[in-house]
Amino acid sequence: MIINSKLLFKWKVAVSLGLLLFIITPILISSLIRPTTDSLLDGNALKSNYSLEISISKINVEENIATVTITPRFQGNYGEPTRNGSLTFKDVELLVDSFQGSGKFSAQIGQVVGRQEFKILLKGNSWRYPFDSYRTGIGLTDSKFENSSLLLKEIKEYLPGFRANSKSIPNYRDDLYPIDSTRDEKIISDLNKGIAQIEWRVMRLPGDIYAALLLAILMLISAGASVSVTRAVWSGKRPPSINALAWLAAFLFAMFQIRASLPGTPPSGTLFDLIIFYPILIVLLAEMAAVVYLWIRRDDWDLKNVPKN
Amino acid sequence: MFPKINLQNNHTKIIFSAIILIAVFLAIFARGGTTSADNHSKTLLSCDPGQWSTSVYYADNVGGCPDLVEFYLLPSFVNEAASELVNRLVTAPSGLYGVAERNSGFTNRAFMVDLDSVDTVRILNTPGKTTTGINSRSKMSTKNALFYYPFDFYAGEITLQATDFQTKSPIPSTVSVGIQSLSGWKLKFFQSGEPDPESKDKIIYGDGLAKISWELERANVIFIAIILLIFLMLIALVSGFTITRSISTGNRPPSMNLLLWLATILFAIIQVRGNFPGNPPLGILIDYIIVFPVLSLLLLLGIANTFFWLARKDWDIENEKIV
Repeated sequence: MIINSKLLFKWKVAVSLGLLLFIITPILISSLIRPTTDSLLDGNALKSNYSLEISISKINVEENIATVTITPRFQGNYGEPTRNGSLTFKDVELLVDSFQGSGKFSAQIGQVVGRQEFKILLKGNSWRYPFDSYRTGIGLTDSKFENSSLLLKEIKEYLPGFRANSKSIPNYRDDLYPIDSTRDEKIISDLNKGIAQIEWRVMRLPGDIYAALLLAILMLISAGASVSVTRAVWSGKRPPSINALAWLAAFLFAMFQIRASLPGTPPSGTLFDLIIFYPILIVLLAEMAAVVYLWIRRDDWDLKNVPKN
Repeated sequence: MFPKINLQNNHTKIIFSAIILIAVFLAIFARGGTTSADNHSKTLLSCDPGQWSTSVYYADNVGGCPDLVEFYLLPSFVNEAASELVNRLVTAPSGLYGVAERNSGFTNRAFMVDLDSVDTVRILNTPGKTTTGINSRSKMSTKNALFYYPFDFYAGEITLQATDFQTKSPIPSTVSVGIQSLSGWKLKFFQSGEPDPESKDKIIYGDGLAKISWELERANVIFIAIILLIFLMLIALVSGFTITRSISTGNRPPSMNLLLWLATILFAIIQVRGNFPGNPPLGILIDYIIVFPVLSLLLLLGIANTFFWLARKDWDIENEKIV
């Protein structure tokens, strides 16, 4: 068989470009799609000495719980920042709308206080894995109401497998704010009273989604390859053989390993299983049954390919 | 000789189109789990202007909300190993007792919360603080109901109570449920009783003892998954049996490759069992009637083939027929 050198060159270029794209795509996606921070929580929009850093530090999808961390960063007449918290110059008490825990962030004059964790409810489920998303939120209220201009700065901590996009929301009904107030004005008005409401939308990292999709494609390619082999055997182009059966069984076994390798270990019975994993298992087993049938019924079973002299 | 069959291209297209159509249908319409509740349970307590002004639970507070405690249950997960349904319970005080928030509530007057759940203690909510959330762990079954997986069915009731700390008298209460689905489960909440006219379909428990019933069973998707996985096991068994029958009759020779295939299939079946949704423990009914028999028979077929390979003279013989 003679291959045209120009055609071969084109193929080489196409394969090289494809491989390059394959390697670059996840890096590009991961660097372009980053968790977003509300403009009022990035630390640039507002100034105050009564400053706290807030972040989501843990996501527990199985138990529907997220952990929010609050770190004091007091300055001026409120305190002095230390490496992991602050030395406090005033009594501070902030009620935290947490599901469990102390339910407040407090410090007394002269106290060195570090970061504190609060557990909050996480709503959502993993049915649409890897495109599953969750919602969570927290409310903060200064119980003394004298510490005006609460400043919150969101810190993005690494959440294995997840990213969280934050959004500040007004605390009260629209009719309780001056008419024609913008969203930012409402939230700043709340912060000046020592009140804040933050919501997060939690999604899987693009890298994890990419990995899950790649594994799904790998499963589909494996199924496609096995379909081609079985089709060739069925049509008589190749003989049915025990080796083909063993190959199909090895593929079947590999499917479970690929399923177990999915990032975030989704529970069995998700949509991914229903439309990818289970149908592929059925296809592989059906092919195995077909090859068994042909191996028994046909005369060319295990026939070797002997070159003609 | 077995007739060679040529699949026409349009046949292949039809098969693939059908598979894609089924996948799209499942992607759109299939649900991994559902949670439902009656109208009394799924709506939250509302405090519209004037709504409660004629109610016995209203004492002219700022904000127009009645003086009661709302219990908000959010389904969280099912702990199958412990046979427990876990709900997150948020105590949301109203009117005189406080203000409801997203994960808790701000308390204005001290009150206590009791719950007939596993390992819970009386919770005291003090003024000026947020209410404490509780993990409501309801025992699903004290008997081995999981034995009937995936047809296991559970039912129960959660009783909640709020008590005023000072007067020690019960606080009127109401229950709401967050419609959050649990993967692989069909969960249903319902309350019995007549709603108050002012409450917009909410049932107020004046004696303070709020009750909500629940029913739990496997979601339809679990049945689909189990049927598929059992079908897999049966195909493997029938294939193994057909091959062994062919060898025992002398139609085909015993071979080492076949023994390898049987061993691989045996491992694959164990993997299939490990992938049952919800990871039920070994020893359930489906194991006794499907999994263990399939494994045992495949093992027996392996032993039979080993025997044929050792005893017969045509072991690993090649096909020399000219086709």
